[in-house]
Amino acid sequence: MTAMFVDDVTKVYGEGHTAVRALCNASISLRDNEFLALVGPSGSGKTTLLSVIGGLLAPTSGSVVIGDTTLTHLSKKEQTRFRANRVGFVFQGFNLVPFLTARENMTVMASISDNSRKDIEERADQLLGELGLADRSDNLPEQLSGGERQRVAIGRALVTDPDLILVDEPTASLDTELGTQVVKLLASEIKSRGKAGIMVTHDLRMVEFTDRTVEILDGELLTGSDPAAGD
Amino acid sequence: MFIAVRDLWRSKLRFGLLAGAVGLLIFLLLFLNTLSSTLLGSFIGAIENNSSEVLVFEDTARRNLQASRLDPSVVGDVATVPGVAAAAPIGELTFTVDLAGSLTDLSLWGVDLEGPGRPEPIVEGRSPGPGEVVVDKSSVDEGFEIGETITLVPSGTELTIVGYVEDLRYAVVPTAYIGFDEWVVIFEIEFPGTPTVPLSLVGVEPDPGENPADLGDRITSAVAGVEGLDRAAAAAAAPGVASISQSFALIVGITFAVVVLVVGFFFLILTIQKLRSFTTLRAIGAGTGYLASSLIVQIVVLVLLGSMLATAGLWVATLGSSASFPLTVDATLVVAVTVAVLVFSILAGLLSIRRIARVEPAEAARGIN
Amino acid sequence: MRIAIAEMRRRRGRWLSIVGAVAFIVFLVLVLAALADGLFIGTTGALATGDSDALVYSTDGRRSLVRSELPISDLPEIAAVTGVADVGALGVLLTTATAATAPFDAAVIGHIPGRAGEPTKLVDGRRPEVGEPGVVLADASLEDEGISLGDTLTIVGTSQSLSVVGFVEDSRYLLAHSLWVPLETWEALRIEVRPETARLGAFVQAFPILVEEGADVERVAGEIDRVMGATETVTTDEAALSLPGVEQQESTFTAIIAASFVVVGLVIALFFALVTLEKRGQLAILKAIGSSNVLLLQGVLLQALIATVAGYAVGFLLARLLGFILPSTVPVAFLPATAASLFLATVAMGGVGAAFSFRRVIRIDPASALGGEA
Repeated sequence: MTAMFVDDVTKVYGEGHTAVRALCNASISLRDNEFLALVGPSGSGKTTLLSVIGGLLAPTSGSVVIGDTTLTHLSKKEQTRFRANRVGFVFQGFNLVPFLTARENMTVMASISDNSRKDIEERADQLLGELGLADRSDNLPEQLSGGERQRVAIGRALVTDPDLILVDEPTASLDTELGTQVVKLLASEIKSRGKAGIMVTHDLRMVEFTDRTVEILDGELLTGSDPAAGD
Repeated sequence: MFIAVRDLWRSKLRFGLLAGAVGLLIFLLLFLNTLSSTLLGSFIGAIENNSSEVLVFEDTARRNLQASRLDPSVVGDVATVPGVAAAAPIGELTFTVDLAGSLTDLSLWGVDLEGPGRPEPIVEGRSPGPGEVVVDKSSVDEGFEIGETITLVPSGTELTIVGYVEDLRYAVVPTAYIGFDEWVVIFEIEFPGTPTVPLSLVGVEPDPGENPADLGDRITSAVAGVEGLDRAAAAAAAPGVASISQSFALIVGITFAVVVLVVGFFFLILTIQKLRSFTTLRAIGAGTGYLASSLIVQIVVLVLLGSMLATAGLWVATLGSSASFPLTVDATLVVAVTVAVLVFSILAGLLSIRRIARVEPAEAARGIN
Repeated sequence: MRIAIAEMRRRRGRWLSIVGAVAFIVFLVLVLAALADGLFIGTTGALATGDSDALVYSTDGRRSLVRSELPISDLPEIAAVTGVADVGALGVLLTTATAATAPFDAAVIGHIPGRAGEPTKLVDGRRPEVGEPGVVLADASLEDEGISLGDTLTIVGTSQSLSVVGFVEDSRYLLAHSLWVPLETWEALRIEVRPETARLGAFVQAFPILVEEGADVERVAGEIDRVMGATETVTTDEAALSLPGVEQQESTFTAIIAASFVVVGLVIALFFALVTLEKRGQLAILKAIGSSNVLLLQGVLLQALIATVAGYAVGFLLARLLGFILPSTVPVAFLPATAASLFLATVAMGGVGAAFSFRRVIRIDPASALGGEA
């Protein structure tokens, strides 16, 4: 089963001779329960690709299918709802809401997605425990360490039980030990819950926790985009 | 609601400051309204709240009570106009009086104590008999209390105060009401040799169902040398009132606009400060509608809070009021002002909502600082 | 300092909103004050801008121009009192007048041209001569009603017609348009409009006086009353306040203006407190790179100063604009004293608000800047 399929996506910013090609005819597919690493230097277009996959960005051409839904065919409003319910995104800057506590940053998804508040709260408490944040749950982001904030962001991405998890540079501001911990955690959450996930990283040491690695350079996908080909 | 409330709770100082500012502005609005009605009331209460619904002036007086002089025969002429249930003479003159040793001005109204123009309702005491008057309650501050004797200067005529009426003050001075015939006698003592004592107005009680303004017009056409007006029009036309009312209307209008604009601006600034959070929320799937409604919830909470502070402030201000300058907290005014500010503030909040709608969720991924 | 200005230039939209909000608030108070001052001058201008230091009333008139009666023969006696430099005469008749226009409320003021009490602000034409019949000096507000030099006015209910020979400004009486005529004209009109006053003979309502240079007005006033016996002499300012309804109006307007100043001052302070609160992140970064608190405070205050000054300027212009387009029935007067004190209050309160928040904000740990936003 294909969890996600990106078909010939191109993303161009600007027009004429000032046009920037962030993505160029990128195609990639992901199987159920597969954890993919997307590797490339900065400026290679990996964040752009992730944004297109998550429905944050509309491609200039091409389509994205997640599960049974063609994301690129949905209206903006429908895409927003899709993101709320079916995609979990961990941003590069974590992007926690500063006036919500760790727990509230997760439970806010109850107001945003279609899940019942009860379900979300249960899952939030469970995740807080699994992520080692149980005694930090009432702290505001400014009171949390970088690693703790990272984990809250992961919790928020998981709390709606989405089909697809997208993670952008999870180890960027963490030391090696903490970074490894976090990626291991991600992998176990993704695998144990039967989800699919893509992790963007430039840290090659982290790819051992993933099933497959895809390289991207200057907007073009190089190796590993076809699951059958292996690495 | 979820994020609206938590945001408010976690930035108590910020919202507290904002509520304080809005509260002050709403207070100003309420205070201005209250002051203007009190001020105008002290000028024309006697006209605006007169027991005759229609007042007939001399036409050349241009609706100025103190310039209006009518011959007593006019009362009879007015009474014959169809639609007039009763017509009675009203005379007004300002005298110097001695009250307990000090001299002061008094506006003395001679009226038919049982006809149109009678001072009512009598809130304390009783209707005056010969040698007696009732005064407007606001005059208590100037020493005009039930039981006191007023001495007209220089004639020496003595009058005893036996009752109070309310909101019937005229020209800012203490105002008293006496039977018309006695008033005529007093006039003659003050101005001996006057051939006929002129009236100031004719008070008219319309037949049931008659429109006072229309009746006034009819009287104007039917009787020579007069102009009939309903009391609201008469009050509005009193000299100086138009300027004061217009000025105040302008003042209140501008203050209102400023309150609303300030709320709008403040929220715009707060929204811009929170753009990063809004971007994140949009990225994780919150719709613009959800964010817009949370903004509106905050505006509502803010305006209601500000309104409560303003009312409290107004109540404190009324502690400084006196009989001659009564300030009261008018519940209808507070509600009306709050609702108006609320509605327009929400409209002003549209500026912020527009900004939120322009947020690009993709920015969240690119890590905008 | 330069960072502060650079920030304002970069975040232009935001600072324009702030300037706009300040402008509206300033506009509010300036217009309030102008309306209040306008009403005051419209009510008391005849006395307030008359050329006098004090006014002599009859005691039983109790400072009421309408109640006071003094025989004109008293004039030389008053003139003879030590310290009195000049004596004029005033009589007021409230009535209606018309030109070729609709009738209007008028205060016919009898005076002696060239003597104390005459209106000072002649803006067009000339003054009447002493005893000159058939002429009138009109208040400039009548020009807005369409009356010009040379027009003929009639006092309703009389046979007299008067030719407009000049205009004076800010000389209205109880909001009625003032018509200044020589005393003799006023006497004649008075007898026609108020026949019951004929028995009183030649009287005036007040004698305006000017005191000699260096003389103390209060002392001269007391001296006059002592010599004359049945008079009460008060300074012109007190006389203006004694006009009917003026004190009431004044206290109302003082209350309004005071309340507005306080409210506006606090709102501006709150406003800048809010704006500064929000700068925590920025200030943390600046502190982290080594800026001292003093320097940061200067920057914040500078921004508050620029914003309040700019906001005041815009608000001031808008208020003056409104003053131009208002109809003449709404009296406005923009007094420099009010404008100046509001300016100081605005700038000061903006600084106070900014400083207040600054104190809270500098307690942040600069290291938090490096952690980046959550």
